[in-house]
Amino acid sequence: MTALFLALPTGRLLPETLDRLEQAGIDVRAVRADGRRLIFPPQGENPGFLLVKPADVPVYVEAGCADAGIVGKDVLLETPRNVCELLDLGYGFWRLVVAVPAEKKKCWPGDLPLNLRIATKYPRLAETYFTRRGRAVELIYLHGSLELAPRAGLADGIVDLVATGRTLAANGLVEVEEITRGSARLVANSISFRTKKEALMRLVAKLEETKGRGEGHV
Amino acid sequence: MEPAGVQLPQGVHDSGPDEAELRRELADLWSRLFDRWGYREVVPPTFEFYTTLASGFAGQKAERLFRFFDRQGRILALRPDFTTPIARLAATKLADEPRPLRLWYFGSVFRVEERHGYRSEFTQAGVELIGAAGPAADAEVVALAVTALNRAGVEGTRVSLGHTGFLRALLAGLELTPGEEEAVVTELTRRNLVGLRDVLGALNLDEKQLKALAELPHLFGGPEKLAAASRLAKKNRQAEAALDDLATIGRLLGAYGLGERVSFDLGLVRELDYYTGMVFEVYVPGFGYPLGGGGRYDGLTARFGLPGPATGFALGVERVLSVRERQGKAGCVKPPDVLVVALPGCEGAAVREALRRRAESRVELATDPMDERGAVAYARARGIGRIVLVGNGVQEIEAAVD
Repeated sequence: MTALFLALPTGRLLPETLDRLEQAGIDVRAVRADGRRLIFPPQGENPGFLLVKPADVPVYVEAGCADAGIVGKDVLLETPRNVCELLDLGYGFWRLVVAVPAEKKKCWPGDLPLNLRIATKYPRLAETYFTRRGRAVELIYLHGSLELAPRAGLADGIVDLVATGRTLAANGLVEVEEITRGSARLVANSISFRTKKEALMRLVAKLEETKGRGEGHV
Repeated sequence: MEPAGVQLPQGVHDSGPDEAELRRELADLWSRLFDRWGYREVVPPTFEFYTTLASGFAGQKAERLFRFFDRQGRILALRPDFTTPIARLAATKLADEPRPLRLWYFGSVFRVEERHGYRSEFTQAGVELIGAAGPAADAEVVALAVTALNRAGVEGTRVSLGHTGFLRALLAGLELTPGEEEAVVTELTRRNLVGLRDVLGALNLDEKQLKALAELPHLFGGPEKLAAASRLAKKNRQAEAALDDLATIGRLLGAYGLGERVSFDLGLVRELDYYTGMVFEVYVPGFGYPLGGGGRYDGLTARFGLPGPATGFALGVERVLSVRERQGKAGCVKPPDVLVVALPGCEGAAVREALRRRAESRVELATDPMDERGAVAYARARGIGRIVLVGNGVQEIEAAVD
């Protein structure tokens, strides 16, 4: 039985991911010890790890470079890939919301400009949402710091993930609608799901046990 | 000035001489193999009416067809697979041929793909066995798919066998709306266990029905999984028939010598809409994508006016080439055997020398004038082992090649 290779997301999900894996009996000391390395080969039965940007986790898993990976459901929704979703990990909670400057809250949604400009990192989800509601918007795709866009006059509002809402408040924005919500997921390659099924299902069982134990970093 | 038109549209790809040679070898190899199994080649058109091709691509999947108009404004589409055009051909122009029809194909298919790194044009090779019902026909196409991969030098091919009838039987008892049923099937197709649990949770199902559907993706393994599936289905006749069918196909594959490679996978749901019975995928452990798959599609020729059973498979040629490369069998690319070089004034003699030698070797006739030193350097760079200098006489030189 060859050990699993797991793709782990760098960034805000990583600390809790490492804690959960550790609670599930997986040795992640090497990852904690070396913040610059990106690939950690398997040690005996202990899985190997690839450290990649969250949006790239499904890419590595789909291609089979990693048997499984941990990633936010937001990534899976925004760019669907052929990966098997095995487990809702119960942490890394987020909500995707529409937010506008506080002073415009009372105008929402009826009294806003005819050509509403919305800045987002999630163009696909945002477009689907507004289309379903029959509202035509102009989407502006940005890579980060969305909160700035309405303040700087680039957009009338934003569609972004919130965990606590503090960043919104600090930038004078208020949430007006929730689009969807989710959490971190364990995903697997569709071939590994068959060829390494037992190892994967053991991992699922162990991670399921850790649910509800963590404090939640987010 | 910047050179214009150097970029390709997203999703298409050039095969250079090396890759083209490997593809050609594969096509030749498989054409001989399919011929030995009694299959004959067909070449349907690259595009035809959209309504013809949409059979396997209903609903949202229709967005994946490249569509355009003819001069009368009718909608045309590039073929997204070969199965539908061949079913049309079998039901119309080949309607009077004795059944079963055994047909094979090799060529490009086209599917709109907006994601980077995916192909919009890719190559499929496969067979259709039309007019044959029953497990023997299904076993034949599965065995031929595995044999084709073996012949191509792919090591460690595995097969997973599922059955549309089993899932249909489980769903039939639930009285779901078409929308609910589609939601369940979508999550099963993606093997999205989280989504499946959510979708099932929202339905008004009893404990047993819930368990049977939730268990489906885990019914993967040897014949014992058929027994487990049978227990889950609780004496549902349609489900039992599907499982018996699978067991028979499994036994026949044993007779083909492929028993060790086969797993039953009741959670296997193929993406296209026309499957009605056994479905399968071929894959190699450690390679992330299936290399191909297929199954039984008994309703498809009826859409073109001639009802009848049919089964078949398609292999992804690019994926086969890439797994071979991964397994270190890219195939060696062979330079010519001989370089024929004309010394000044002897071009005519060199032409005759090259023509004569082409009867038994692969010959490159140098078109640029070169002397002996130049010829040796060029032959080395190209990996050509022998030079023939044609002057007043004919002189052969061995060029040292690494």
